[in-house]
Amino acid sequence: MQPIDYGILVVVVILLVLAVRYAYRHRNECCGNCSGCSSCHACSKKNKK
Amino acid sequence: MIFALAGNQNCGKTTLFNQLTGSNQHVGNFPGVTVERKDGVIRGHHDVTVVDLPGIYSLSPYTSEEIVTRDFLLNNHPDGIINIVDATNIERNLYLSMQLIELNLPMVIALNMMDEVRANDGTIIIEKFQKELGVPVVPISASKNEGIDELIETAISTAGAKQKPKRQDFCTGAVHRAIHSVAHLVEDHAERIGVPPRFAATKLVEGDAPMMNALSLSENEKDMVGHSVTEMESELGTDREAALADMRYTFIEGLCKDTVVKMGESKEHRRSVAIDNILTHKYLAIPIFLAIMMLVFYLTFGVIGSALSDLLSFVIDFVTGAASAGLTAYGINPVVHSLLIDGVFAGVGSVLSFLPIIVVLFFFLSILEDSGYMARVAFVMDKLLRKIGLSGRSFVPMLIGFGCSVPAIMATRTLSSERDRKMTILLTPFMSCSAKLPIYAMFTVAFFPKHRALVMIALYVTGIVIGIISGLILKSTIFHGKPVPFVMELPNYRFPSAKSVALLMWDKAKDFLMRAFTVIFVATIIIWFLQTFDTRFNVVATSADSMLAGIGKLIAPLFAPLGFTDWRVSTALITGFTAKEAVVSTLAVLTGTSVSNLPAALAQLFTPLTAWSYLTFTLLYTPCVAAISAVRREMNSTKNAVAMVFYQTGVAWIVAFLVYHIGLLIFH
Repeated sequence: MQPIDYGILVVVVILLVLAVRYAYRHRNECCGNCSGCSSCHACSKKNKK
Repeated sequence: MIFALAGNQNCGKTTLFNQLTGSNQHVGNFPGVTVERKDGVIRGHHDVTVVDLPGIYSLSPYTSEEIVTRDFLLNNHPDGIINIVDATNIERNLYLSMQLIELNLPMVIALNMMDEVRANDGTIIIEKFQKELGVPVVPISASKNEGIDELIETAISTAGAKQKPKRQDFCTGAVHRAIHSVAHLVEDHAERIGVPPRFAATKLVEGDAPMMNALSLSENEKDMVGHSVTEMESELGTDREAALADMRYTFIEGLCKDTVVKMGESKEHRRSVAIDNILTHKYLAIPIFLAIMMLVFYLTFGVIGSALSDLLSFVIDFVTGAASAGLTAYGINPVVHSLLIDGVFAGVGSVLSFLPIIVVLFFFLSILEDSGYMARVAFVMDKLLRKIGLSGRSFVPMLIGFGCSVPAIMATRTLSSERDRKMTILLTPFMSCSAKLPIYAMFTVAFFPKHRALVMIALYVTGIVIGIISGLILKSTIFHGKPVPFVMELPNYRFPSAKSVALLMWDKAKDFLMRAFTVIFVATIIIWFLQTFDTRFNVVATSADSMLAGIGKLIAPLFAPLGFTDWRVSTALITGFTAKEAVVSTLAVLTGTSVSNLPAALAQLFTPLTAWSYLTFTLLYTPCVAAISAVRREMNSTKNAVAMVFYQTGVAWIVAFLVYHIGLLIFH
């Protein structure tokens, strides 16, 4: 494997970590349509700004 | 300075809030409950905040919205109240206004929709109106941004001068005597807990249990309150709640007679009534609804959405091809090359291609909702839903469930009956959510290209039918009893707002893209890894020797009776647990194809009959983990959530089994 292969893998791993973190933080949320929902933004535990 | 913005539902409160604050908003929750709270700083007044309270019709403690509003006004001590009143529906709106005045806080009434009143030859004598009520009144039109500046200045000066309502006593006769005698009795108790004595007395006369508890009256004092109420009731010949309501409406009637020049029936209302004569017709309503939905599906899956989706697939394939060529040119390691092209690009790309379909579908649905039609559908569905033990009010969460189960399950909080609420939560996941659309779309393209819209409708109808059957079973087993009565306000039909429609489409698209680049991305990489390596982490020549195949072959026998013989098919179903779109991305990775070739690859794994069986299973089986979490939270029971998962998966298995074997009998 060349350095560029390792570079690509590092990027993929970083993106993977960010994706897992995002998915975990928003794990209780819906699939969008917040503007039309009576529980808008109330489906996540943390308040959003 | 903090203002509370209070008013009925559908009176333009949110519009006014947006006009007052612009983009300076913060969204959160009231503590202890999950009722939404929005705060905002008023434009041009950085030290003035307005809190948007939930839309309510009275300050009685029956719903969580009413309790939250009342508690905020009594305990948080805002500097003032801005009470927004719909001038086109003034009598009903003033009922809340009178109760707000009793809180004895600086208050301004914003008479909204004055443009509609004027357009229909009505008028309100503002000077006399505010003199009778004892609070400043400012005519506005929130949607047209009229009168907003005057409202802000009036509210700030009223609160700054701590100008309380000049009048709180709107009653005469027996009610007046009862309230005053109770007010004298509880004055010291009320002052001790920081509640205006008049407000406390009115609530006690109404029979408000929380107020009675909060005042900590002695038994003797409670008896005296009861005695005053009994005297009032016997004198008037009516119960306490009716007596108070009658008192308020008598005052409102007199006030409106003196100050309101009635507008003629608005043309918007006349138009709505004329349209409703057809759209809510006893026999035509449901066929019309089905016809409208068929048209929406046809335009989405058969014309506009599919064309845009095909175009996007072409672009994704082009980009994938270019990336592959680029990686090859750089001499990238074959495994890394496979990770990027066969994993990430194939998996994420296969899901991304369905973005246009999602956006187009929600474009049409938001038009229907924004126009006011969906409120009529809830009304029309009431009769049908009562047959399965629910009311039309349950239709609203179910309708939301066609978008996503999570907000649908949360929307069941609007159901006052716990029985109705639990039953609706359990039935809502049968309403096929939008995350399953990529699965349906992919299979219809592969196996039923000439009948896309029809297949989609058949799937949705199947979900609804199974939901109805489940409802009948639940009604006669766990959930005995009758649903609560259904009362709802039908707003006038209106031309859909381009801004609302665009906002919804953007919300949906944004979330879809976020899920594709997060949840789907993660699932794709995991699947790629498991199908590329064996248990010793050697690269396999064929995926049949991989770790994933080992796992898949363990569960495949469970699905063999449904016609799915290939392990890849059943493995894809497992990934649907994280996100339904992941079923498509998993199949793309496992078949090692590009987006546009996936239909051909699926044709190697399925026949039209097994495809139909597969679609039936994905339609009905367990919702995603986010929806299951929502069920667990809302029902406050892990056991119920797990039971729901098993129930739905069991139903999905049985129905898919029947579909497959009945199909075999018919076609073979």
